[in-house]
Amino acid sequence: MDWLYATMPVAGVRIFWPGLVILGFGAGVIGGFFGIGGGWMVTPGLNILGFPMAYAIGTDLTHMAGKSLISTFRHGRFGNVDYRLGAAMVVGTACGFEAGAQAVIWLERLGRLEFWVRLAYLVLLALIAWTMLRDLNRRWHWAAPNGPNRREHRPAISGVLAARLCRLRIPPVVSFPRAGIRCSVWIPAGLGLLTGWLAGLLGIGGGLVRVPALIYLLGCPTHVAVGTDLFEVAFSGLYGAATYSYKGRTELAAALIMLAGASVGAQIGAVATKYVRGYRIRLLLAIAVMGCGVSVGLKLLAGLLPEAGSALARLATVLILGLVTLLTLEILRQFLSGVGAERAARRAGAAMTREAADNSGRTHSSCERML
Amino acid sequence: MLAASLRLASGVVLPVAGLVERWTAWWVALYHRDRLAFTLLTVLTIVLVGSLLGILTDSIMRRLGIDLNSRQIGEQ
Repeated sequence: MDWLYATMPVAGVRIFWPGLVILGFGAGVIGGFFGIGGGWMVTPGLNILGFPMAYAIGTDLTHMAGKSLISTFRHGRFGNVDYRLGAAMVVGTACGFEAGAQAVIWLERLGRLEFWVRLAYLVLLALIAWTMLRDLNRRWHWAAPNGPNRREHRPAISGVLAARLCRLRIPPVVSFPRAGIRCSVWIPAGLGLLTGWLAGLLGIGGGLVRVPALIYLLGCPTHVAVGTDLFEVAFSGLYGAATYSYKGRTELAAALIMLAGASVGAQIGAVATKYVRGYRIRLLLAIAVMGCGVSVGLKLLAGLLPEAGSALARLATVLILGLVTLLTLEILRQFLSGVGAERAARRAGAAMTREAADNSGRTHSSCERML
Repeated sequence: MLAASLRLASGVVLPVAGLVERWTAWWVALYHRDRLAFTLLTVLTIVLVGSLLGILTDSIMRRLGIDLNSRQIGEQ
């Protein structure tokens, strides 16, 4: 079974390469579907496969850039990417990311950085999950057959917050046609700055924060939030790949092996959004956010309870990988059932067209006979 | 016949293995010699390979009968 292991030229470690393909595939499916880079799941996965942490982060960012490009092209074809909105956010994101990284260096001098960063991350994830679940619950409550009033239009939380923000008419006011928003350009730029700062501070790609922010603070449709965020992730992935490569902490061979799996996975994830309604995407994203939050909470506990530390850290890793597997399987199920339904509909349409053509041919010949 | 297939297999495998070894050695040397070129090549390779794989999987999906050009945005 020696052929299943490959020596990585730069990191110098022997890696089980089919594991890289599977990890890339899972990250591709989830990334393409939710519009996130997936650093929270890939980095621990690479670490488990045998990469030292710095190489795990660098390799993850490198493969993330390629994978996000594939997903962005696909979402772009579906009309899910608002490039203007993405461009307005990308400068803010870059500045925010650097400010966040500087804040980390400042916090490092104060000590106990890891504890406070994990705690902040946990609070943020809990807040996002709570907002999403409250919104979904509200929608289900009002849409239920015996709900208060099905006909009454009740705006979701996303509508209320976004409407308030879009009312701030600080020039220049710009239209974002794909997202269907008209607001001051400073709002998406500020949002990029804020989410970029959080990403830099927490050491994450930022998609897990940016997608809910686009939905709830700007009022983007879920599909456009997913596509536009992938556009951002492609930029941040390329930037991350460049900086980590320059520091010598990137394993291109591993990133390429992962990309082989991720290219298929990213297409499947992006195409699956065609068959799933926005609210269902939000529900699955809320589950991913909660799973990530529980995992961060366990790591936090591991730091506080040194005697149970290694067991809790292992549990956190198992939880993340289990969650990734379950979400991947669910998205694959949605993709397969959607593709099946689309092909069946096309076959039925073709059969109807044939039948109509036969009928018109028969009518035509009987008319000729009568004449 | 078995011997012939083994000869064929080793004939195919050995040049590939040699090529991989040469590429690996060159890549590690570049890593030590010129970090900027290493960075640029990493970024360029990932963009190129990502785009190529994207086009390849696109064509496979299209052959499966999936409409890759349109979807309805059903939510605002």
